[in-house]
Order: sequence, then C-alpha cells, then structure tokens
Amino acid sequence: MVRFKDIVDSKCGIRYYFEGLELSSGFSRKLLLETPMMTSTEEIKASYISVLEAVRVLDDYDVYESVTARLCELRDITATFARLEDGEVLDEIELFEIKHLALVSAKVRELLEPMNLCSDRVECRLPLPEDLSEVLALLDPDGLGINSFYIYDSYDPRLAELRLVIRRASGEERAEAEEKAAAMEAAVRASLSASLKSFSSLMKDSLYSLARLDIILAKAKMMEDKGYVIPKVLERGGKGGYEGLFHPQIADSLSESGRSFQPIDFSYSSPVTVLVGMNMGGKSVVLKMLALAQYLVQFGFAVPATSARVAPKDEVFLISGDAENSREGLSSFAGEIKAIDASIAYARNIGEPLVLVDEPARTTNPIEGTALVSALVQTFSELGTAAVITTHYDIAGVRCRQLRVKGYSEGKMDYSLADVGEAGVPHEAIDTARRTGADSRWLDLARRFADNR
Amino acid sequence: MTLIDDIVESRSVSVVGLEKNTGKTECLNYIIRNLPAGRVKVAVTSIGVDGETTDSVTGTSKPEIFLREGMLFSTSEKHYLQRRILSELLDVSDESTALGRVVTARALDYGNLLLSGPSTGKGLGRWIRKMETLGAGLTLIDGAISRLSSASPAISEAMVLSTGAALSANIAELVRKTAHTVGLIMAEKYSGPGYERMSGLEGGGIWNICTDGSIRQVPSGMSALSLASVKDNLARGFAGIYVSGALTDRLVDRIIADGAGDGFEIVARDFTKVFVSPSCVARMERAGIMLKMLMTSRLLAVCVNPVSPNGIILDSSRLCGALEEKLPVPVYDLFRLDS
Repeated sequence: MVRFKDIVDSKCGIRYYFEGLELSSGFSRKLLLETPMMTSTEEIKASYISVLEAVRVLDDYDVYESVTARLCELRDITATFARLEDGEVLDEIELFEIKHLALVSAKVRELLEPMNLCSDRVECRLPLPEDLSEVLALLDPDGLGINSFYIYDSYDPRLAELRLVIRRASGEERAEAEEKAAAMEAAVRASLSASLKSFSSLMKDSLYSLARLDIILAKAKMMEDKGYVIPKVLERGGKGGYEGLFHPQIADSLSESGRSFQPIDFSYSSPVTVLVGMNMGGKSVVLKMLALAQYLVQFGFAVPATSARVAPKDEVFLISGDAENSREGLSSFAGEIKAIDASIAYARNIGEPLVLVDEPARTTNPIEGTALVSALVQTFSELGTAAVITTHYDIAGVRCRQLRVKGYSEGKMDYSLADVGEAGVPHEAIDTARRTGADSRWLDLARRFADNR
Repeated sequence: MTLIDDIVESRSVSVVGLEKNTGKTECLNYIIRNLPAGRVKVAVTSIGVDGETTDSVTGTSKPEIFLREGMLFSTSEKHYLQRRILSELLDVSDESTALGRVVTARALDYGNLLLSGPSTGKGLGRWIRKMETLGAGLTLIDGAISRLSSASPAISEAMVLSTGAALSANIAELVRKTAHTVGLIMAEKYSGPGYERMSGLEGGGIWNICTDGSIRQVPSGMSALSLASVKDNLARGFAGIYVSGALTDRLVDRIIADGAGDGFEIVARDFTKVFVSPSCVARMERAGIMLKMLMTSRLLAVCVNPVSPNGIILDSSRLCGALEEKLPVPVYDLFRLDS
C-alpha cells in the first residue's frame, strides 16, 4: 500500500503542492501523510464529492474562517486515548485536552450544521465531528462552556471546604490540607477517567473527523484559489488524458522570472507512448507532470489542468536514470535496469501500473540502447501497460504512438506535444549545444561527423 | 515604592541576574508580592529551563516563584503537575521544552511553583503575545542565569538587574563589574543616518556607516569570526560602523587599529549582543569612540543581594551606597526592604 508520505518526496514534485495546502493543524498534516493512495474509482469519486461540499463552506467566508480557527487548535491526543483505554488515570492536562476537543467538536458542529450540507446526513461526505456533549458534561460540571479546566469544587463538596482551609491556614495545617486535597483530586481524576473510558472511540472518531475536515477544506481552498479542476474519474483500465496540464512548481518559478509555462494536452490513447524531442526540450517535465497528476487524483486533490479524465492505477513508476543508485553501489545503468525491471515485474504479477521512464539506456552504446528501448516499448505493449517513455533513439519498427515536445522556439519554451509523423526523431542536439555557446570548433566537427553518417 | 510603579507602567519586564544566586528569584517574588492587586493582570514565566535545571544537578535548591490569585503563569507540563497551588488550566501550547510542553494557567489561590517556560527568545516573544490575548497587561519574565538574552529589548520592554555577593566578595570589584554591565545596558540609542535601514536588516553582518549617511555592507564581514578575512579598512573615511551580530573585543580593537577616532560611532543591535570587556570599553573611551545601540532596554532598577551562598555577607548599606554612587538607576536591597 502506497501512503502519501512514501511519495511526498517523489521527483514529480508533489511536495511543493503539499506545502501549498493551507492545513490548520499539525495533526491533519500527519494524518494526510499517513493516508493510503486510493485505487478504486468509487472511492476517488466519493472523496471528490466531499471536496465539492467543502466548497460550499468556503462560499461563506465567515463560517470558513471560524471553522479553520477552531481546527487550528486541534492537537494529537491519541496517546491520551490509548492511556484511557488501558484504564489509566489521566492527569489534569490530559483532561483539559479532552475537554478542549469536546468544545472544538461542539463549535464546529454548531457552525456547519445550519449549512445543511446534505439533506440526508447519511449521504453527507463532509466529515463532521461526533456529538461529545456527554463528555463535555463530565468535564464542565458547572456548564460554563469555557475552555479551561481544573478539578472543580463541584466534583466533591469536601474539596471546597479543604480549599477554604488551605487559603486561610499556613504552615503545617496548610500542608496537611493540601495533601488531603491532592488525594481527593486524584480520586476525582480516577472516577472521571473511568467514566470517559466508554467515550474513547467516539472521541477518537471526532478527532479524526476534524482532521479529515481540515484536509478536505484545504484541498477545496487550493482548488478554488488556484483554479485547479476536479477530474472525471474513469473506470480502471480506462484511457484518460489531460487538457491544459501544467506543473505548479515549474510554472511558479518561471513566472517569478517573468516567463510563462506552456500547458500541454496529453492522452493515453494507446498504451505506450514514446516521447522524443531535443535536449533541454522538456521531456522530463512532461513525465513529472503526468506522475504528479496521477498521484493528485489518487489522493483526492484537484488537478492543475483545464480538464482531466483519469483512470486509477495501482502504482506509479517514475524512473529517471539519475545518479541516486550510486548510493547502493550500483552503476547508473544497473540501477536503471533494476528500476525498470521492477515496473515490468509489477505489471506482470501484481497490478496495473502507470510507468513513466525518462531516457532509458541513455548511458550505454546507441546500438544496444536502441534495441533495449524498442524491446521495452514492445514489452509494455504486450502487457497492455500504460507507459510513457522518452528517448533520443530511433525506434522505428515497433508499433507505438510517437510524440515530440515542440521545445525551445523563438526564445520561448513550448512544452506542447505533436505527432512525430514522418520526420522521426529530431536531430537538433548540435544546434541546441550551439545555443549554449559551446566551443565552435568542436561543434563544427560534430556537424561534419553527423552529416557523414 | 518607585520600583513597583515603574514596573506597573511597563508592558513586559525581564528580571535577570548577573550571576547565579544574586537573588533574581527573590527579586521577582518581591515584585509579585508588592504589585497592586487588581490594577493590572499579570502573567509570569521563566526562560530558565536550560540554565536552571543544572540547579537540581548541583543539588542547590531551586527557588519557587510565589504567585497570587488571578495571576496567569506558564510552566512546563512536568512542573505544572508537580505544583502545589490551585489553578485553572487555560492553554497547552505547541512550545516544547525539555520538561514537556508549556502550559498556561490562572492561579485560583496564592501559592508557590517552579516555573519553566519557553526556552528560546522567539518562544518568549510568542508567549508575550499569547498572554496579551489572554488579557495580561504586564508580563514578567524570570530570566536565565548568566543569560541576559531574555532581557533583550527585542523581547521585553524593560528590565530589572540583580547583582550581589555571589558575583564578587569584594565590594569594589562587584561595583566595577555591575557598573560595566549597566553601562552597556544604558548605552545611548543610535538615531543617526541609516537607522531605518539597519532596523530592517535581518541576520548577521557588518555595515559601514558612510559620511553621506548611507550604509553599505562590509564584504565577507559576516561575523566577528571571519574578521581576519576582511581586508577593507573598517574605520577610515567612515562615520561609524554597525555590527548586527556579536560585538567583541577583537572587533573593537580592529576598528581602533583601522584608525577610528574621535566621534566615530560603533552601533550594536542591543546590549545582549555586546561582549566587550571593561578594559575594551576604556580603550574605546580613550579613542573618543561612542558605543550606541539600535534598540535600548529600559533598566528600571538594580537589586542587590548582599549574601552569597558560600556564606559571605557584605555590608548592605555600604554596598548599596557604592553602587548608587556609580549607577544612574535606583539600587534596592530587597532582602532588607522585605524584612
């Protein structure tokens, strides 16, 4: 099972997206990181419905602000619940935190209930905290409704008497009374803990509901602020695609330097797509975008695109032959082969992956490299695996769709994709190198060698 | 009692000691006992965690803070649960210390407890703001021993300094050391050209203050530590220098060696960033150099404890008299006042 924390530092750049979420509490952040990736169409659809319901909360800014202000106060008190279930006696700080949770739950319910988010409560997908009024009654015996706690006099009439003694007396008499009061307070805490024990799972549900509510509100807020879209979720195995897909992190860093990101259209119309294009042409960016969008959908986030149709996968493989395998003592070639092999094994034996491979076999000789890539395309075609592979090799003779990134033209980066057509793999490496200002003698010779072939 | 009046007028006051056992906690307790009840809502905490837990290691008893009914206080979870005072819990913060999170409560009776609040300057700043939202009109901070940082004007508005026999058994030496620190605390505020820019600068660094009023950063002069790598002359042709990090003897001597003379101004961020010795101050004075601070603290008073833990008892009136002669602020022997 893939959890959000497993992929948050994936090369696709989902961390940037994650850090942009306006989560109110650290506990929600922790919960989100532990969230498993959804792989069923129904589940993903349901999660998007909750985001749409959350948009209605956003529409009433006063309510949204009040709710998030409460959610900011959310604390991870699961350790306290565990102690409660073990029959231990809670201390004053723990009792205070439980009371605080009950107050937050009551306030959030009070804020959201009049919105009638769903006519039928059972149908409502937005998580609402549980009714903890019985818990509150235990910890607020005087019904003050204030966010504070101590062992109130009303728990035991003898406490009030003792406290009066403490206040007036001094020396030994005071110390004696203090000791008695402390014992009495401990007894009150024991009896409160025993009474609270039966509410433990209800309180835990409430805490988790509030954290989920926080996450969903943050998803909705980001969607509204950034203009992202909720995709149409296809059945498993469906052929999806995107229009106007972009990469938020790269788009933001481009716009900082006054440039703009050219969004792309892409469809998984045939299982395997081969992406060609010159160096520095944005092929890797396309793969990152596709991985990012797939993860976003399967964790229930809106997608940075103008429209999207996405079928869930069991796993996403984003493989680029960077040097990170050297840590394991593998050469970059061996590391890459291992990673690609894992994706083939997954497709063969385990489930339905999306495989995105950036320039496989780029570090080996071009004759075998071409053979390895052509064979990889055919292997994925045979398995019916959705795969996008970028390459500089001419892989004529294998049936697949070939697209090329338009790339750098007229001083602007154009990430949009076009069919390769008759031209085959573009031969632009030397021209690109020339634009970087590399040694002209070297490049003149290179041109002569290329033309002689 | 002018000390109490001055404190009531302030929004936040740090009490810091020049040395362990100079009666800092007694000083704080004296203030708390004598504050006019009901006139102002008081919140109190300590930055003591790091410095003062060593007290329990060395075995000397750590004094408890006295609290009055209605006061707000913040301490660690551990010390809160060990308290012997009736109080109502109001907040559990994310601020964490070695002894657990920092909790805030309201005293419902009088009593004593150990305070161990936020352990960083930033944490204290957040604490002060939090107390203000809880309605506190005056925040008191029990500063750490031999750490004056909690008294930084970036954190608290005013301060009380405690000194005493624990610092030196010799009255003349005690007065000299105390007067040196007081001199730094009360150094004049800089208000010359470039003040706005300097106040807005973040991080360490050294800036020349040019005669035309502009300021420019000394290349690679990121700190006094990399001083040797600074090749430029730091003084000649400039009106002054702004040192945003630590101001040390070495740096001052370099500035003097570079030719700083009469009227040259050395500007430090605040007195907590100044680590120069009395002899270095004397060298500056001889050269006619002025030491100024970007931010100044209001020193309300110096409190004296004539008793040291190893049994030395100084003559209180002689000590107070000698200090009063040298210091431009009131001097109190709270032990005598209290009894």
